[in-house]
Amino acid sequence: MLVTLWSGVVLGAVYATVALGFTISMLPSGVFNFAHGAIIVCGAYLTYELLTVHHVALVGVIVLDAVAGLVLGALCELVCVRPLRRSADVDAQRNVLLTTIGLSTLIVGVIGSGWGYEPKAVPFTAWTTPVHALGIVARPAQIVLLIGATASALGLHLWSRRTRLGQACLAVAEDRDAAALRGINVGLLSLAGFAAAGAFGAVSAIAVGPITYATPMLSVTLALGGFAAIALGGHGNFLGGLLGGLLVGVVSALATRYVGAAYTDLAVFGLLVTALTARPGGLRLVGAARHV
Amino acid sequence: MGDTTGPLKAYGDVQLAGVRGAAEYYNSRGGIAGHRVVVHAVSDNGDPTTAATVLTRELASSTPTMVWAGSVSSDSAAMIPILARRRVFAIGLVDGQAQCRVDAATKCPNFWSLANPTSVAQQGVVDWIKARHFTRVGLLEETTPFSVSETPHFLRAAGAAGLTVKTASFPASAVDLGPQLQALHRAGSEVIYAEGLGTAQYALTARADLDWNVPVVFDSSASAVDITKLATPANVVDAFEAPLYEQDARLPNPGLRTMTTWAGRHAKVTALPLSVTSTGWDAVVTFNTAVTQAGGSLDVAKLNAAMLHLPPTDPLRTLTHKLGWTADSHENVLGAPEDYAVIPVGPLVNGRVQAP
Repeated sequence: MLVTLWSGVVLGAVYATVALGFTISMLPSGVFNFAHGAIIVCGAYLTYELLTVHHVALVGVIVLDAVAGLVLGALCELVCVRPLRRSADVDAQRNVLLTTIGLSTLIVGVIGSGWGYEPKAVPFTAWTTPVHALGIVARPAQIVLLIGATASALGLHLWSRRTRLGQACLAVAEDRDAAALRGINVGLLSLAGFAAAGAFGAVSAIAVGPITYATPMLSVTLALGGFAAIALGGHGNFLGGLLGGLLVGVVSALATRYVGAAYTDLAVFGLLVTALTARPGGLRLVGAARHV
Repeated sequence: MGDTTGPLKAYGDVQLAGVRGAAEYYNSRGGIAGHRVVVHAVSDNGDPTTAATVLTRELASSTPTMVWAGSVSSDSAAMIPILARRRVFAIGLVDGQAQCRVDAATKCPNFWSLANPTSVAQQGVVDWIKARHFTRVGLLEETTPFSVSETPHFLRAAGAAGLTVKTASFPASAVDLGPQLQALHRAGSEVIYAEGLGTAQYALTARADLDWNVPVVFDSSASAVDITKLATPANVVDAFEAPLYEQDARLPNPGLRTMTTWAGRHAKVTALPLSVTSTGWDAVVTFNTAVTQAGGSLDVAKLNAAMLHLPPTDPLRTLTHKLGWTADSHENVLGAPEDYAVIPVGPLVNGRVQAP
């Protein structure tokens, strides 16, 4: 049971990391960036290439992953979001999700063309000795991912509540037009949000990649898992995203172990329906005060 | 006919490279029985409906001498009845959910499948397990059409051998097989048989996470990837694979060099594409042998008759060791479990598994 729970927690940490990236870009833009999963996969391949082929030091990998993710995230906003947002046609603006799905497909295709469709083992170089406790074998990448996801969620939550920039993002999420009238540069925030999410996603691949391996088809799995996590945890809520990701992971692992893999998605869907019926806004851990 | 535009484009493209390479090979030697080979490639987009529509349209305007019928089982399944009705000679990798296994003279008189029946590979693995006196088998099954099609044959062979099998399945999108391995561990499995293309890395990691030294045998699809590059040396101890005949570097396969040279002009032929490219290549090589056997005739009835009397081995063919059909079965009846020797996981060089 403990071993299965640990499997679920690790899987949940993967989804939570994806959910955090989604939320970083969604807060200041209001857009669900489906291409975020592909950006993480891109980061995983880049990590593999830099560590295995070019033997770059870990610090260098972090910097280069961040730059690549930043550029990809910004491009995503400039190519997929901004042109539609400028359109006077409201229906066109609603197609933003579709354009990010299109970009995701493009990124996956480019990755497949460049690296092929065979999986790549992304090494984890920080330390290699697993930790044995309570019958669980915890690999270093798993521990780092879990700690990283938790610390990121806490840090991002504090940032969004305690800083002017974070409050500005919350204001845009609340009402984009009103925020713009109050002098917030919503266009710049949207671009910065996508770029920051891209950088976060690509860097998180350093810990995600050794667990999931780098494979082009991973992007959809990550995006759907992350989507379930934020639906469960509440949109725009970093701590909720963390909790949602962990819940999705644990429920998946327990269902697979004790009921069968055929029922895993059903169990996650059942959890989503039950939770959202009880709390339509998701499992928000912290309430938000509103000035009306 | 194959998928060069849709979801199976990766397969269709290299199959077409095999067909084109073989055509150019024969044309450089004066053609097939003096006939210059012209390849007319049409995409079926990987789906049965398009396959049936496009094939019907193509046959309305011309009658090809031979059709390469489909990238995978589903599009072949749609084409086989049309080819039978229009009396067009065709070769494919698989016969559309075993349409031609029995009563082939009636159901698919002009269609000939190159692949070994699924049961052959499964019997090879069961024989290996039985020889090592294991009795409780854990089956890791990827829920993809190919893997799911293997399972009934494995269960049948295992049952006949007196083995008990506990099954744990996983979707192709899975990134963690920990819960599945835990279930098999709990069931007391003495050996794991893992089906599926995406299994190897996750299965070996999950086994290591459990500190479990159970032997793991991967099916032939896992041999399309270099498992030694996906796992640490410690993790591949007691890991085995059952590669296709042509993927096993210990076995002679003189045609491979010729195939990779000619087909390689149209696609990069290594690792995963090797066995797929071979299917297109072998189709044209087999067609050439049939035409020769038929005295140079391109008549469908004569070609069908010739297919029943082809030499079982051919130095230019690459995919299978022996190939042959009967009037009743147009699947390869000469495929044998010995073609799928279970060997320790080893590095993949030019698409073939080497000794570790």
